[in-house]
Amino acid sequence: MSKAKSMGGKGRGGFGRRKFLAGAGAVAGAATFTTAARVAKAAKFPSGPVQLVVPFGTGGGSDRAMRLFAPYLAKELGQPVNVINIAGGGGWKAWSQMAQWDPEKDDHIIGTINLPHVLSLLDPRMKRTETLESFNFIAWHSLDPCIWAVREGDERFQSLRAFIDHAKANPNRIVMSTTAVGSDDHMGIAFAEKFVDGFKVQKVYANNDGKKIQEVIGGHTDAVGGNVGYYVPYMLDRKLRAICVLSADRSPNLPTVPTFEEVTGKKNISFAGRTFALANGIAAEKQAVYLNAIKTAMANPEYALKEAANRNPLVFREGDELWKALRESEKLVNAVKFWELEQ
Amino acid sequence: MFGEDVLGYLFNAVSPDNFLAMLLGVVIGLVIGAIPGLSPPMAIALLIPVSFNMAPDTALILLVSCFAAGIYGGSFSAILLRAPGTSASAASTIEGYEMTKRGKAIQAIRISTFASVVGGLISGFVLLLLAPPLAVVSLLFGPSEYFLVAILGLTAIASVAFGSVLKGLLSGLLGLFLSTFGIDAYSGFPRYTFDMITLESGIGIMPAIIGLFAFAQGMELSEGEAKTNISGEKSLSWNIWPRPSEIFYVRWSLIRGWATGLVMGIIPAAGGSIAQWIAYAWEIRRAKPGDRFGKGEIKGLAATEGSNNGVTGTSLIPMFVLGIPGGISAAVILGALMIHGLQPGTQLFKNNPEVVYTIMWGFIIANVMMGFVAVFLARAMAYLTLFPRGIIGPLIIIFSIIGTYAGTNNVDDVWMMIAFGVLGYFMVKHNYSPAGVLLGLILGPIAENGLRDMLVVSYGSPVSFILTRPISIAILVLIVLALYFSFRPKPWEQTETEDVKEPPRLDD
Repeated sequence: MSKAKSMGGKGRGGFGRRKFLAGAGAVAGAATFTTAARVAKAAKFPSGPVQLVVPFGTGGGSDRAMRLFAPYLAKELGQPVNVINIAGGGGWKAWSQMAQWDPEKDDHIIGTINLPHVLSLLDPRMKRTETLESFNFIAWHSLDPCIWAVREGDERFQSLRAFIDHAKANPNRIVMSTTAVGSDDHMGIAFAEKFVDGFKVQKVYANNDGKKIQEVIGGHTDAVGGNVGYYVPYMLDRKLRAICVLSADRSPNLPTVPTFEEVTGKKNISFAGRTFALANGIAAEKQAVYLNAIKTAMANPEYALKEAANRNPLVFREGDELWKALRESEKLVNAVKFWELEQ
Repeated sequence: MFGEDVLGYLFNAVSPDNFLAMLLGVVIGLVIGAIPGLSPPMAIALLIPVSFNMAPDTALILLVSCFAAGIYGGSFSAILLRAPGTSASAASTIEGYEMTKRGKAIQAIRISTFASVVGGLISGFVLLLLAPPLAVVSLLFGPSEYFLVAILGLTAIASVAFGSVLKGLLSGLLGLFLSTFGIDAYSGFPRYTFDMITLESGIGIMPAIIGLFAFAQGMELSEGEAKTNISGEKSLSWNIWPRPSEIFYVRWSLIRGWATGLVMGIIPAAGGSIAQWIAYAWEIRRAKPGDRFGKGEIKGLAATEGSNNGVTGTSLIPMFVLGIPGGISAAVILGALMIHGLQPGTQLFKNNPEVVYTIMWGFIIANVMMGFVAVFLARAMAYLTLFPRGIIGPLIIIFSIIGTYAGTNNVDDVWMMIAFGVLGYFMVKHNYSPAGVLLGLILGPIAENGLRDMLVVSYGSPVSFILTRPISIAILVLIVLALYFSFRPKPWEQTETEDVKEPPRLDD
């Protein structure tokens, strides 16, 4: 359009009336064209491919889940959905960008935010300027509660009660495999150490579940903190046995395994969750398009079946319900203050 | 337990669908593996949606073929351009590229192909026949073993330093130091991050490899006579079939390389990027008078190339039998198995033997196919060595930048890669060892976490703990032997002092 305008300007100065008129015509034509395009664009949103940002590298759990979801989301949006991995800083490379997304320019991009990982913003050592309000969360995608598990056949730990009693009787002699400080697994253990009197374990940290499972099955550690979805297969294979679930209710996948609260009376709730976020201040109608597409895609039975095979429990939440869950997580992390525990 | 029924699944593996999947996996693996920055796990992850609508065995054959070919494809660019396509091929840059510079690119490619194909085949048969018992062995590796394996890997630094042990050790220390950047696993404290988000997850291996080798190489090629080429040859003699005499000459190096690869594959999370260095250092320690290590010694290349593909099959053992992925590629393949409703573990072998054994046969056949497809691809790539340096140098620089960005979507990593590139360029000029930096960077976290985990599980008494563990003691003995053979006086080297003083890469 700017090119057409400058042509018109030239015509008026040097080439006489006819050329000016032609130029003006071009301007008018271009204007009509862009208006038409705008109307079409408004009618059809999104107007082009949509990016789905995964804050971790290729091949991780988040990556797998989003690559599984992308085709179904694309079907609902009527546009291709491309998974983009922006790895680094434990997710923060991507999240710090998401907080800055422009509502106009970045309206074809959806972010995924992992809980409780994003709550490392509460850790004063990290000097984050973001808060939960820095992100425009629109929907919850999945929630996998934490569990504690021991080796199948380990006679010492028939129950969570036996495990806790053993740890109290043998201070610093029980070793648990867990994901890094600030992860959901670590948070669950830190909560227990803070609120169950006399309970204290040693921890060995890993950045992937493969290492943790190898450690506990191989007899190098005594127990492992993990997630229901990822760990159920090892229980079916009779390698691991769950001693508790860190959720409000028992898991439908493990109906015989008690919750932490049932045994100790302490409400220890920890999980790995994934949510979707958009640019802050994005137009309400655009946000509605994405929210509907996510909601419909997640309800697609074919997709649900694939995620069930992938053992990633889907939980859709939106609006107040979504924010209530976010606030509860924040409250819990603030209560545990994991950064004060591991020095 | 294994008999005719296992053999019967061979025919499933060569059904038209499976054969086409294999071909697709091999071609994509070779191409993506050869491009620095694009890694085999990335290729596998991109193929997962493609594999959704395939039968489970076909889908998995596609992915494991891509995995094997990806590791091998990384060697082309390492040998021909000194720009390793994967972290598992970094060690092949040393002897492989020196051979290319001496006009022996084709010989290097055919040795690499022979070592990789046969290594992959052996590894595939070990996977097929011995997976369940070997999986038990992989469980024996705990914190102390990881710590000691990392130390064994670090002893390779002394061997690959070529002439200046002090400069080699300094390079290794720099790598180890850089590996401490990032969030500390045990406290969550950000170490040396200077409030930069990128540094919180530490310094990436990929930007370091691309920088130290590929980008630095692009800089080196961009100086000097722009019209000369890398190989100094005008045309390529094309004979991809290895000569029996050649194979006979490197027979022990091949066997040592394959053995190293097979063993390192079984250890979860060790893999090709460590195996190649241990195999290579082993060769250097066994050097005889007249060997030209650091200047295009074919024995060194045979060992590194044999080891990195020797890893591929056995690294899938813990994944299939225990559901424990040994690396990122195996993790992606594990995810694909689960999406197809197959749960890895002992039950998988009982309930779905047709799927498991078909996949394993598919992996074996893919290794053979890889050799044939490689003939065409490697030939096309080998012509790059005839291009003028003035074109190839800048092209490598451009590809390094694009590859790093494509791999990470993070501009900071591109800057990091360039910083490593400049570092690598000057290190080579002054006879320091870029390989030492890389080894420190790869092994530093394994050693650190292994040590700290060991202190925890041994309740603070690591020495008595190690002495109760047979595998730890065995690795300890290997470390002592490695140090002895690295530092024992080598009379024949005295006569070559003049050669050694020169930076090995500037000798022509």
